[in-house]
Amino acid sequence: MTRNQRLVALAALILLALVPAVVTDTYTRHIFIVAFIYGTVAVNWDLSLGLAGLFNFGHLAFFGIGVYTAAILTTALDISPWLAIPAGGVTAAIAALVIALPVAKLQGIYVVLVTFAFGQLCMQVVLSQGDLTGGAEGLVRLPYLSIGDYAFIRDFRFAYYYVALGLLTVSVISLLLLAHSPFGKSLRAVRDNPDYAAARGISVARQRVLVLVASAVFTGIAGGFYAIYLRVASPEVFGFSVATLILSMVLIGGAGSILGPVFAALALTFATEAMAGTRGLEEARFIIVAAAMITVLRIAPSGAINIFSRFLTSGRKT
Amino acid sequence: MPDPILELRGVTKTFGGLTAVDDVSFAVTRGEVFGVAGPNGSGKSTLFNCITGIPFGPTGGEIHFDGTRIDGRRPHAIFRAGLSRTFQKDAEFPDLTARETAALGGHYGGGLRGAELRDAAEEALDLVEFDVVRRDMRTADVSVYGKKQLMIASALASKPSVLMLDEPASGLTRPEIAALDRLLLQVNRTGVTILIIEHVLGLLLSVSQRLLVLNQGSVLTEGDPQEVIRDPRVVEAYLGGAAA
Repeated sequence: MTRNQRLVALAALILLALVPAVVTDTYTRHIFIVAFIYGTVAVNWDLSLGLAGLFNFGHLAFFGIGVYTAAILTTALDISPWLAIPAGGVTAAIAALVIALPVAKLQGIYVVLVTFAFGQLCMQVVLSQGDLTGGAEGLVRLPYLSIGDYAFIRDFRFAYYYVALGLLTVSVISLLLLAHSPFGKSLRAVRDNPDYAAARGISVARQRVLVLVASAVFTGIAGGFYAIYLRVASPEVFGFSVATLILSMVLIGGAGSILGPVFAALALTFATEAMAGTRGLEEARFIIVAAAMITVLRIAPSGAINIFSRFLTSGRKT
Repeated sequence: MPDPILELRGVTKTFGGLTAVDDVSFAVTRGEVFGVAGPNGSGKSTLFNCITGIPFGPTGGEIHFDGTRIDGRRPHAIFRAGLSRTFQKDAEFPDLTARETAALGGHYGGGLRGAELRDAAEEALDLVEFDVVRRDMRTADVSVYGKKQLMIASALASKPSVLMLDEPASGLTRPEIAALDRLLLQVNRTGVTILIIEHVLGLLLSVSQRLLVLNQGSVLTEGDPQEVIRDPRVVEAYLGGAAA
């Protein structure tokens, strides 16, 4: 991460922290909160897909597991949402460990098939265990977050905004630290040349297990928060629409860049929401996002953040 | 045989009905430079792969390293034990800098951390004479010779006992081969045992203290390099029956 990128990221964080002072309506704040949640999921998908080169297409299953963990714990066991949200991270990490063990020694298309099948399996479990999960109807009326008598849904979701921004910030900082650690460098080594990596003492299988588990932690927490925030758990979280949208964030933002998917999450969440409210574009929005993904990848295969970085670099040279 | 550090006993590798390495046995003495020659397809690289387990181990036979049997061990464990290798093709981690690449070997292979790791990486880069001003450059932007230097440096950062070089001169110019020749002797003088496969016979004869020739997967002969290359069987293997 260059100095310019750090400055841009810091400026963006300050601006986002100031947003509630300017944006006072619930709807716009809601879009920001959803963008922060999607950004957290995207940036963690970037860890396994972009940084480690693991074609994990079951990442949204970790999100869904977080959603249902929080929903079931709060409704069936009456556990506090403050505990249910991090519990989503724990169960997602355990699920990641289970799926990582067979995936660790697979290559290419087989990783795609197994992880994709895992996502579908999770959805089928949710649909078939209606007594616990609510089946196709999902679970509703989940408890909201509160501190003492202060409910987070008050004040136009002011508190939810900062919890979501905090979650995204902590997740991004953790991933940036991880990316610059020897572990992060070993992931890039495994991604780019597994034989050479093994010949330098790196256990390729072990790093793949670790990266899947690490990528599931914040994703599961984001899922738990998503359920508590929306007060609903629906099997749609395992569906193609959300997965495609978040994958677009990773690829348009720049796979392996960490920060790229965050900016893409903000841009795409607002763009798809704007299109959803525009006559004629309601159904076409995902096609437009897919077209945007293809266009960006054609112009800059390493994502939009690299176009931006090149612009910053050329600006400095002139 | 005084103090063998690496010993192969009847190593065999088959791919279906094809025997690529056939009952190969030899021992490398601690501190020497041991060369392996042979015409194309003689099984040299397959032999290297069998020893390091990358990407496969042997089908039969035993490999002992520093008194411990290592065949069947996982590749990263073999490296951590002190047996490191380079690759014929310009292997690289394109996103990492030269410093990061060297440090990776020291961290995962040698278990080094912090200042100790930084020092080991710098020492290794110094030993291979990697240009100081290019050390923070992405490996993708480094020259072919630079990538060869880096492969060796990232191995040396882990303080290995044995360095195995798979055709290090491939793709290099004559001045670069001369520099590599000097570099390998320099590395050997630090106490690192070297096992080298090479097609450039000039380099192989210059650095090797003993030479083994493989032909069609089997050991043809082994001994003093100058004597080995005059062996009629070796000449025949390289140039055909008429030449011998």
